[in-house]
Amino acid sequence: MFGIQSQCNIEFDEEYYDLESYQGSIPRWCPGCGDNAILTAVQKLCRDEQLPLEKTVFVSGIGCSSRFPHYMKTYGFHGLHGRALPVAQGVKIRRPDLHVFVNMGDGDCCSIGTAHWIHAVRYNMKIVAMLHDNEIYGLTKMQASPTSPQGLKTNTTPTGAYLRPLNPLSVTLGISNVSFVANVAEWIPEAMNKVIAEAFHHPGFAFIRIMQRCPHFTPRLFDPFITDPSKLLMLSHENGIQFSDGISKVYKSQMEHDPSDMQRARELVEMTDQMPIGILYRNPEVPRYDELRKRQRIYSMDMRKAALETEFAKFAVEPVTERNGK
Amino acid sequence: MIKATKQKERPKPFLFPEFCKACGRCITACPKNCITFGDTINPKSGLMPVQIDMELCNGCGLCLSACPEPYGLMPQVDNHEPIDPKTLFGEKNSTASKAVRVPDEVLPLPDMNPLIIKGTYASAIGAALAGCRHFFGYPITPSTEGAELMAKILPELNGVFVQAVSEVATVNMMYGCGGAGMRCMTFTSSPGFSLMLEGISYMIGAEVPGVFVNVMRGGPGLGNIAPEQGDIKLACRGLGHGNTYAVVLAPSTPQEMLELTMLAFQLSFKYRHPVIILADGYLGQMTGKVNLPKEMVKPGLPDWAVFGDEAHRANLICSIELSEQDLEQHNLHLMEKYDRMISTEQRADCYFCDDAEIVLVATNTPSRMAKGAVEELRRAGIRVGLFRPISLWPFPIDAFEQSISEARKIVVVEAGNGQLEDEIRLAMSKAGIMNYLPIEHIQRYGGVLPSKQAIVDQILAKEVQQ
Repeated sequence: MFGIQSQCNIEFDEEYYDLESYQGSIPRWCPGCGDNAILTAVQKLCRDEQLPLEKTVFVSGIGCSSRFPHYMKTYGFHGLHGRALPVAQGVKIRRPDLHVFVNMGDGDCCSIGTAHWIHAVRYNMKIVAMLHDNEIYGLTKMQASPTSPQGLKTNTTPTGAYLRPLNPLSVTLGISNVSFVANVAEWIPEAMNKVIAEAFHHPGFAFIRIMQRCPHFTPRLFDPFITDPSKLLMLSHENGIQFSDGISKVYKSQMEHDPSDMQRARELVEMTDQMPIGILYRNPEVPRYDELRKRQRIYSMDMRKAALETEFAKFAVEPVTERNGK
Repeated sequence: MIKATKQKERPKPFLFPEFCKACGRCITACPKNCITFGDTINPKSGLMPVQIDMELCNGCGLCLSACPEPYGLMPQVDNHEPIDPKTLFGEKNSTASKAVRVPDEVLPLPDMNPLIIKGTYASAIGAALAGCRHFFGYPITPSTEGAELMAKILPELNGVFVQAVSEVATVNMMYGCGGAGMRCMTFTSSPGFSLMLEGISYMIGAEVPGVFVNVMRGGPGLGNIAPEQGDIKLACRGLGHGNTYAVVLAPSTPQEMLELTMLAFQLSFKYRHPVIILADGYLGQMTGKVNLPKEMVKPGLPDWAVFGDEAHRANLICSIELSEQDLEQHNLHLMEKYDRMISTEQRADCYFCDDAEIVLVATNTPSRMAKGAVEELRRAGIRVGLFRPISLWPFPIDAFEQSISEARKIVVVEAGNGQLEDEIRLAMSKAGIMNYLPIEHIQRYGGVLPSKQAIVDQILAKEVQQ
């Protein structure tokens, strides 16, 4: 309609992409920031899938995590605070052939962008959304975020955060039309790599919450999980992901969880003593907005013209002629 | 025959079945027992309306007066049109006493040593001294420190600090809090201010006070966190939709951040109107000496507030006026308010303007560079002055006209693309100053400020040419 053609006829030589091919500018995150691990995991996915640079888009909001597109050599879109998901949906609806990834922080997704997050899940377009959840506002120097644990002392909560934190997983699992929810930790690369790969192959909206350490403002926040690996409950299933022996040795508490079991997934994310790691819910059958709105019939140019003309004819004013003029 | 005419004078009751709530008051009232509870559900209302046996009814009308529903039982007339309940029942009366305005109290402060604090802190302390006990905000560099200080001090003062989920939530929390007659404020920076504009328009429409401190940063879009003066047009000309203006104050030192914040609260409640303070990134972060004022304010309670006690019960805060005539009247009322602001709230600072041939105009941090330049150029024997508008809206045109009386040139120094210059040109044109002096400008963008040397060099270069 607007003369945009997604199929380009120029033929390129076949190219092999290695990790370096995806490396944009040098990351300026703090040393030890969990974002670096997420960047590596995503670059590995791109290499493994051999995603063409020009067919891949990374969209982000505002925050530490949202520096992400700058560090990828693919297309990037550093958007507005909280509005990464609508931007990504805008890209995807017009260019379904592109691989769209979204990187957002907990302030981005769970505070100012909550409305967009809920409706992006409901629209279920094929996007991989990564929530870099460090449970703090890092870029503005340590203010409480909606996911900050109760009692956390920050600059805006000097006596400790008042409320119980928002649980991004239970929220997402409660939205109608949800199709893929996973939880990973940035310090377990194997689980993260596998989950991101599964998310990439999921036909709809894949939401991954990544627990991410902020070495500067909340360095000890995830220590309970790191010092006591049994607090992480590794979810494996033949329809989900399987862990290697090395991982199984360290993370002894494992569990078979069928990702199609929504009820069980909701119970798992509400656990207080353990944190599930892996794919919580996956249903590839959920209808997708971009699929549903596609025209089922092919319209010729004449048919379009005729349709337009009937539409305009409703507002047409009959010109004053000698015959009907009064 | 006589009986028949009597019958005519006493019309029988009529009922729109969809409006009957089946409360049964008419059944109790009816002396003839001709009304009974219904047994069929009305499909429109989902309730069971009463049934009237018209054979027995003698049209006594007791049921009509018993029915509390405005569109319920009514005399049988030819055309039934829903009537405004006000005409049926008159104005709603309340037995509560009328709200009385509790005036502010000014309390003396003991002498204190000056503080060395940054601009946002100075503003926060000023707000606390002006009686502000309610803060709503969302983190955004370079304004967050002010919010952080408020988070520390307000709970100690029995106040409220809320980190909202977004700037949109912030401004609406202020709408509510200001509507309750309380003093509230926020710190934000340019992108956040953009998000707040919608709410500010509603606050102006509903005449709700509130103080917005916008620590301007580089734009457009996300820009950067360095100082720029790119929001002058927003604050002076673009406060959301509709016919909106508000007093805009522009400090240039941490001391002024404190003083103007206190003034902003005073003006905000004087006019029942939001007030904007435009600072810039350097000013927010700049540490300077701040003398505390001699007195502080214990806030009163306005009579218009939706305060939540019996006396304030009849009050309503809203910005909707459905009829065109009402809305025009409301706008005329706002215009009258703007006129009062224009005539009384012009503020400016003139520095060596009396005999100046060249008048520099600058505000915020650039005015500090301009001040240095004036001193250096004076030493070089050039008669230069600095005009520093403190209120950007209303523009202090009277003082400006006086300070350019000897001038042959105006030079606008700003960190932006001429938004201050536009204000000057507009103000001069509105004031009917027809023989324009040449206006030059020294501008830097994107967070770079015009340096003192650049100002001196440009003026010297032009002077030498002549």
